[in-house]
Amino acid sequence: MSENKALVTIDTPLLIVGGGPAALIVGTVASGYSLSSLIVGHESKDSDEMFGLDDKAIALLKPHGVINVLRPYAESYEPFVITASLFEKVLKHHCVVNMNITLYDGMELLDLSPDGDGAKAIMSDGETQWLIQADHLVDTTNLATDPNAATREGAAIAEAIVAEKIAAKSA
Amino acid sequence: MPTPPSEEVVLSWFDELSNWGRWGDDDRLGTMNHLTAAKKISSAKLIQEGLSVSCSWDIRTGLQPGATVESQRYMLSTGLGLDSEGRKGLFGAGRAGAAQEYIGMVFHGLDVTHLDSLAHLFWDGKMYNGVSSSQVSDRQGALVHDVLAVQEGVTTRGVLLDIPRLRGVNVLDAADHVYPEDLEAAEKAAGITVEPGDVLLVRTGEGWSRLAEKKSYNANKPRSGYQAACLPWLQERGVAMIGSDVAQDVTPAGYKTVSMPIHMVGIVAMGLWLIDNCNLEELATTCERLGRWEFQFSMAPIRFQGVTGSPVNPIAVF
Repeated sequence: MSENKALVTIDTPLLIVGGGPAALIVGTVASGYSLSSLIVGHESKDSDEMFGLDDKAIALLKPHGVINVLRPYAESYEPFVITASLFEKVLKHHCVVNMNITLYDGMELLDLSPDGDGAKAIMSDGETQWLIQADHLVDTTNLATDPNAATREGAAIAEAIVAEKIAAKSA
Repeated sequence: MPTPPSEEVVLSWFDELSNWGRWGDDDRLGTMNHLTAAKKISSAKLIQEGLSVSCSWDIRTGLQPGATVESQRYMLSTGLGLDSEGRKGLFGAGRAGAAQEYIGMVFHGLDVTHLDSLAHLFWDGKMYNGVSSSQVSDRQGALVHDVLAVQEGVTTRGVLLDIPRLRGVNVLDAADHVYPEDLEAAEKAAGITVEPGDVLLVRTGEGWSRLAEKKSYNANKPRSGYQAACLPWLQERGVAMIGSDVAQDVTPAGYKTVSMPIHMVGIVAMGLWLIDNCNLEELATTCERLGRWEFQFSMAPIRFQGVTGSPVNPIAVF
């Protein structure tokens, strides 16, 4: 074993667990406000079900560049129709390349302990473990999975956390 | 065991390791200024075998692990069927034919071997040498610090530091980070010293995983790489460029505000050019066989106007 192998601590402002498209939306919208996040346990589902993105969802996603990256995968533009599966997969890639978002495949949380607004947890790839220390914890388990509702709910959560941080900073 | 620098220390390097103004207010070369004419000439002496090794991966179509979006190839014309009776034209069988294609890709990411130009990253709204990030726009791309800064190509001494070879493993564990102490141990093992103007290639063995795991390979995972502690070492040695078989930085780096310190401090503060996702497997094998870990390095980035880097095929010549 290497002498450089050690438990690395990941210090993150926002830990997002629970999966689904809402997890990706929370991370994306938070990133728009320069708030970094770590998304753990996200798995994209395969589904051919078509969704038409409504005006509200488009308005929320557009400032974050999401509509641009979704466009090549859309069935039609007006209305903006895309399968739920592609919506989530493309959005996930958008998160992976976002420097404010950390999202890996094949990771799981071995332990999650809420700590005030935040949490402490252990992330593992089956071989190595990382200690996570988060200022805020968002669990998207019970949030909507259809793209429109997930976008609204995820964006609202991210904006509430950002507003809280801004208020705390100016207090 | 080396101690990782604190986030406060890493953030202080944006000032302490800054090369802003060092080579003039209009400098666009950054650490490539270390590459002198004499250095280029001396690198020719390293060609002794007449042997070339590519340090790049194939660029493939379809969604690849670690790719931002899938690379696209659209054939405008092909040779399909030109040898069959059914494709004979009005004037009989055509003797001449041609194939041509449109190619589109996002080379940044974890798949394509590519060079990051100094317009690739911003910190506090600035690029290298204090240039405003607004100089990279939707309409015009990078007006400053595009890849044309190195349009004359890169020819210099290349050095491979093979860290898995030191450890006696095929690939470094994700939590096994590369520190300056490892770079110096690898130098000692190879009997070489990294010098100003060199292109430094550091192998973590990720390419070995990529070849071994084939289609099941997952690029989007925690990986080893240069720990942020290497930044002062790279500045002190005066390397012209660095490359690796990963995207340089360990991931996760563990810092709250700077997720890729080698990228951020390196590109923005130091003007350090990075070659991400190299294929160093054949190079490592060749170095081992020849018993030398230095070679002439050459690379010709594509002259993309206004673009923040280029897919590249770095060549090591022995």
